[in-house]
Amino acid sequence: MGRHGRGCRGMGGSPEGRATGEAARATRSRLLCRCREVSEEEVLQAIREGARSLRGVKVRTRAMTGLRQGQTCGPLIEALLRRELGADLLPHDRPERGPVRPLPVHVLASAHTPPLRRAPLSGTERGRG
Amino acid sequence: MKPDVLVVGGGLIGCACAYALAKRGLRVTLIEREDLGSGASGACDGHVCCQSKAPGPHLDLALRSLDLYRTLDEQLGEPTGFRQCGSWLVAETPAELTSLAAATERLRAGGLAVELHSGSDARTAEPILAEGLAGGSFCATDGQTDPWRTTLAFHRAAKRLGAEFRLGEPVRSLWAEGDRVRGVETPAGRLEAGAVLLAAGAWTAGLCEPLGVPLPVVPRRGEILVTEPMPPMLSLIVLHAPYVASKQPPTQDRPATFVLEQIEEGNLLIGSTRSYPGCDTRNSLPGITAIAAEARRLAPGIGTLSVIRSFSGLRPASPDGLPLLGPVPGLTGLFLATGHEGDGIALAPVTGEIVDEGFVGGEKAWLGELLPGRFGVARN
Repeated sequence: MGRHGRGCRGMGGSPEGRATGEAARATRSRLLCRCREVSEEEVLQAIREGARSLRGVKVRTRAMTGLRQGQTCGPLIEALLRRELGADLLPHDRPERGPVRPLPVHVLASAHTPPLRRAPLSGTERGRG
Repeated sequence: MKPDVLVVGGGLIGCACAYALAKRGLRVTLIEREDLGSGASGACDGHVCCQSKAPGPHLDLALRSLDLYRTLDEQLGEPTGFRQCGSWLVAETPAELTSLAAATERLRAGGLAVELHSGSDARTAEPILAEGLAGGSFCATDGQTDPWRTTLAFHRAAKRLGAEFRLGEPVRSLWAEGDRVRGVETPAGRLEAGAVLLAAGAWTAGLCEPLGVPLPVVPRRGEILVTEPMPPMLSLIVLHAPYVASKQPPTQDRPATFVLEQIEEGNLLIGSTRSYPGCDTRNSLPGITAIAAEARRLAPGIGTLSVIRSFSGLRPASPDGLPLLGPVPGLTGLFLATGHEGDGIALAPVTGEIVDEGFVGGEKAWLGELLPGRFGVARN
């Protein structure tokens, strides 16, 4: 796989976890994470390799790291983990991470206080509400 | 069967050590309370950067590690994501350039090939950088790796060599009898081992404390922003020169210092802050907005990219910025591999090698400047 060769596509599961053949194509057609194109089979392989949490699936498959940050696939993957692992599923106790929606760098930068370089206010600006 | 070595911690350092020891033929078990890469190795950038190191033991370690990275894919049997892309350390002001030029000279004397360039050279190489930078130093041999893939690659290779991994199993405490550490206590009972190697990063000090061994390793939080995936727009890793100075002294909060890389999936990782909020891994609004402000100023070319996520990790910071590798004086059977601060990714392969040499060669084989005893660490 070349650098950036697959656009938004993630690394998928481990090389040995890659599904091949007719049956595999059928299971691979069910994508859980559309941003990173991670299939149900790849998530199952991650679980077989020891993943017991959302985090474990994320590190092994890159699911939930795409543009939508697992907002759609996270619950699907969690349900799959629960089905496969039952009580062995580790609790999800990681902090929520912002931003909730994509936000341009310059918008975040403008929210920085105090500004790194504050220009003196001009008369017109001072007059604004 | 009782393992020769029980590694505590499934981050990159623990996995690299497990691999090196298993390769030596030792029976290795690794125990991890969550999952692989759940701590700092899963929440960091992938810089394998030598020009940010101080000449001397720090640079020597980084160079040894870089050498190991060059052949790591082949050795581990799968891609780690490592590539020697080169690095720019950029100076914004003439004062920064003066310090950078002096640092460049010291690095060259220390054996690293770095060149000083003008700000316009840097901008020609990386057009997203700001106009009017004072200058920059370029190191062609620096690189980046993928910390998740590298951790998994060490883990799988260690597993193939017979290492056992116990994930999702916390260590409650060390199991000591007199001055001998015999293993660890877990909720499932005791695990006995020939030796215990603590590679639990920022959580290592908490395991040592009940034994009366205070470790001078504190959690240092680093926050990073992730942008939307983009086509290739940056070929090297970029660091703002004050990043190097901001490493010292530890325990002092620093404003954000700009560092940047583009990962294989196309996302840009923008860093980073340094603060000491204890074990709090949340992101802070001042932290992420300060990173964005630095990025907008030094690389206006990324100002319009969307940030899709922030994350933060706890780096285990030691007083001199160097890791603690080796036995704990006063206790038999207890060894440390921690204190790498922000260099755990860059130094993981050499850490595995040093730990392997230490376990095989005994007392004399460890590197004196990295021994935990240098801080007077010992059982009280």
